[in-house]
Amino acid sequence: MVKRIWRYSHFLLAVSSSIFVLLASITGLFLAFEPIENQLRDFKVKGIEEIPLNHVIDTMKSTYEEVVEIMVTPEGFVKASVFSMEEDLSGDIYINPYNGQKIGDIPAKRPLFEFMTTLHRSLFLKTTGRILVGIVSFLLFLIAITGTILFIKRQNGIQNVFKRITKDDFYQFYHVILGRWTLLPILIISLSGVYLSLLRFDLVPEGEPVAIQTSSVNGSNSMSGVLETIKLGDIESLEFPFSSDEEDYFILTLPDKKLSINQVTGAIVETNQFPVTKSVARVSFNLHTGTGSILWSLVLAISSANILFFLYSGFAISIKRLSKKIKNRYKPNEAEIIILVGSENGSTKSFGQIFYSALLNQKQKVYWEELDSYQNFPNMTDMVILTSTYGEGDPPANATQFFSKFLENPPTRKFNLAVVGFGSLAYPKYCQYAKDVNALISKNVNCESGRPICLIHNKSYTNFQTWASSWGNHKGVSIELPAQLSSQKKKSHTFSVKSKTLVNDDFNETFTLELESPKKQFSSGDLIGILPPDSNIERWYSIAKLNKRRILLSVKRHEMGVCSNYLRNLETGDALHAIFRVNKDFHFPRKANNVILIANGTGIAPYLGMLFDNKRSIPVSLFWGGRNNTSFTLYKKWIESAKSQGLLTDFKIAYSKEDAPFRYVQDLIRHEGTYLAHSLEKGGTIMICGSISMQNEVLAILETITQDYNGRNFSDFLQKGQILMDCY
Amino acid sequence: MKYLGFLVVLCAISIGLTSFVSPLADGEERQFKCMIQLTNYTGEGAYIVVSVLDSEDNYVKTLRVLGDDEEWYPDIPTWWEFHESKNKPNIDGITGATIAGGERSIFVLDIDESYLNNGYQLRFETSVEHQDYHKDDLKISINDASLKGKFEGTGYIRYVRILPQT
Repeated sequence: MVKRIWRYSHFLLAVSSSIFVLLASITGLFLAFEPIENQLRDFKVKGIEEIPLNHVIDTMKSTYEEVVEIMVTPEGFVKASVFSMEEDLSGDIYINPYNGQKIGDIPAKRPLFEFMTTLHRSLFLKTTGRILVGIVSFLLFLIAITGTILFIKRQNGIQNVFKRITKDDFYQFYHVILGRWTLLPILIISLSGVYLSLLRFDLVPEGEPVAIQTSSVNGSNSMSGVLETIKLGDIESLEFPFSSDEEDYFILTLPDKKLSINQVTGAIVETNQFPVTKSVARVSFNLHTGTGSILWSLVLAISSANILFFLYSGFAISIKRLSKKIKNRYKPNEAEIIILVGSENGSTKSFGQIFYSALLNQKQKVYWEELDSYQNFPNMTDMVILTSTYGEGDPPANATQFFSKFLENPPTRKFNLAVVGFGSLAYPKYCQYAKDVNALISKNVNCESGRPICLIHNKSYTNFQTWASSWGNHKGVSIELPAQLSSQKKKSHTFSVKSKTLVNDDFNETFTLELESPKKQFSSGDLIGILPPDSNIERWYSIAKLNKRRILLSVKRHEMGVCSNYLRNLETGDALHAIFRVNKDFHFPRKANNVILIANGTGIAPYLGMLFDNKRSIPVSLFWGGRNNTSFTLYKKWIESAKSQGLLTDFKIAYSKEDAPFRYVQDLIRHEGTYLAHSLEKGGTIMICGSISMQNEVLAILETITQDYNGRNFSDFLQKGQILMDCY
Repeated sequence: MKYLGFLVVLCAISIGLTSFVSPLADGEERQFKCMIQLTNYTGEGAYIVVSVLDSEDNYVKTLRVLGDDEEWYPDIPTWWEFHESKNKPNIDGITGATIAGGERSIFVLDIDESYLNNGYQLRFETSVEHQDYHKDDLKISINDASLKGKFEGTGYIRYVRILPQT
């Protein structure tokens, strides 16, 4: 609930100030280049910081008829206001303080920068504009703060802010990633902007210099000779005496004080100390404008560009969240199947949407709604809940009131329950909210049979398809989900069969297919989706890349399997159509110093290519679980080739049907506990491929191992990307 | 006698010509060092314009502008009217930064010889954002005797000091 307030404020602040923030960041982006341009001008003279002031004074006096003032700019250039008989040696010029010679005119401010400055500062609205810009600057500060709070909540606490950010959809992921990078500069920009506005409107005191009388005018003072001791690098400006009258002084401005100096004796006549607020104002100005530092100016430019991206991605996220409007054909009181969706950013809603459509196509009386809009559905026979989890087991944005609503108004007739949780294993409280919902509803007296809760990692669409068809089988409805979650159609390629090897291990028929690919940009671990004739649902297979265009996949034939039988009956030379899907999170790691590959059954296929991706010959272990020795013959030649080339250091098999005791790959893993723990600690990667039940068991074992041997949370390793999975 | 008459005519013509031509000609300039010291008022930096007026208070020329943001020039209305009527000539070379209460600014005024001792005047006008506009904060007649020393202002200017350059 509290999180909702932050989210809502973040959104409202951003929307209400967006036009101004947009203008300010575009103009700010341009303006960041002004100090860079200034800094790059060629008016720098080396070593000037060390020149004593009296030398400069003498040089200047002998070079020009009149010297009004010399100034050291934040860029380290020396500017003088002088005049002489010659036209171009009068006015404000840059000089070389060694010889007093002019080295350049003060370049006029570019009209572009002038225009941008006015727009940035006051939107051409004078005082009104300045007030607006000041307020917007403060709003930007609040946006940054609310964003930070949301980020901390998302990362499950302040201790995790520098940890890996779980990959989400594009806009969201980069909104968060860039937010983390530019938070500090944006806070600085907005706060300094606010401060400059407050100064401008006298809302913070600028403070008056405080006079400290240091000596009498006669000049017999130990501080005399200050012009000899102070160096050019120490000063901001030096105003020359107006006339030769002794009452006219040198006025020397240092960063912290202003001195009046007798022009005859060189004694300090008066010292005025600047208040601290002056330094604060100067620092704010330099931080806000980038004056004097190319590096900081670049940071400002990047931050401005980032703010533009935040606006854009923020709107994209909001539109996505708001646009998933729910439409129903049936009324709540007519519907039998009720789908309730708990979604933070709308991605879980997409799953609800396609599931709803699939049921509607089967003429089911289905109704779908957000969890928060729960009510009593008088005709409900089936309740399906699809929900994500926020942070540490909190409900997602549209499910915060579900519990209380459900308890207030529980179902009045018998119903079946199915809960699907979406989450990421990288969070310790994986799918916690879905588990809570499942527990709560299961307790209801009318809840008849509860199907086991299904948890889906990283929005795996394949897993969801599997769940949906199993739910359908149970209910007696055939559910056909679209091939892809997103509506865009992927390009299909034509492959030709190069060879097929069959093995029958007395239990199942398993085979490998080698295909010639029309394109070569793919990697072992990617997926191909095969659409058998007379079907509109792709089946996905994890592939190995044997060489440039050669694909290997391994399939177990299912008695009634449409696709596996179709593939089984292909002969060398046949063509088939399939689509590629890049599976970036399941490629052989580029940086790990050792890799452990775990698979059962045909899940070994991608590894048969990956072994040959081991270009650095790092230690690689492969643990595989199969039925018996016959099943292994299918893969034997690649394993032995990799072994003999030194690409595979360790290979262990568990047979489940060969000799007693029957062992599974899980048993191997349990046995190798210390080895695995050690490998992870050293920065190794563990990859898991095969059946989902094997994956779950292996994960449970790893959780114990890391706890017992490493004394660390398993989710740490998950977050660092040391555990990669592709199971079905 | 005959020659005298000729000479008189010649003199009359030449005087007539020069007196007609000289105010328009870009003749010799005299330099005056000038310091403006402001009173300790609070608020934004003052916009200050120094201009040459003829004896009937008509603007003739802008000598110096302190304040470089054109956005605020309309706040100096009488001068702005003159400046606009001349199609806003380029004043970059004679523009400086504004100064705030208690601060001072030193610069050099280039005054055309022809304005000297001919009834022309220097006007210092000042304006502060959201505060007053002083059309005649200070007025000094332009002649050799008066253009030196210290002059008290009536608005934001505490005093102006002028020093002829030799």
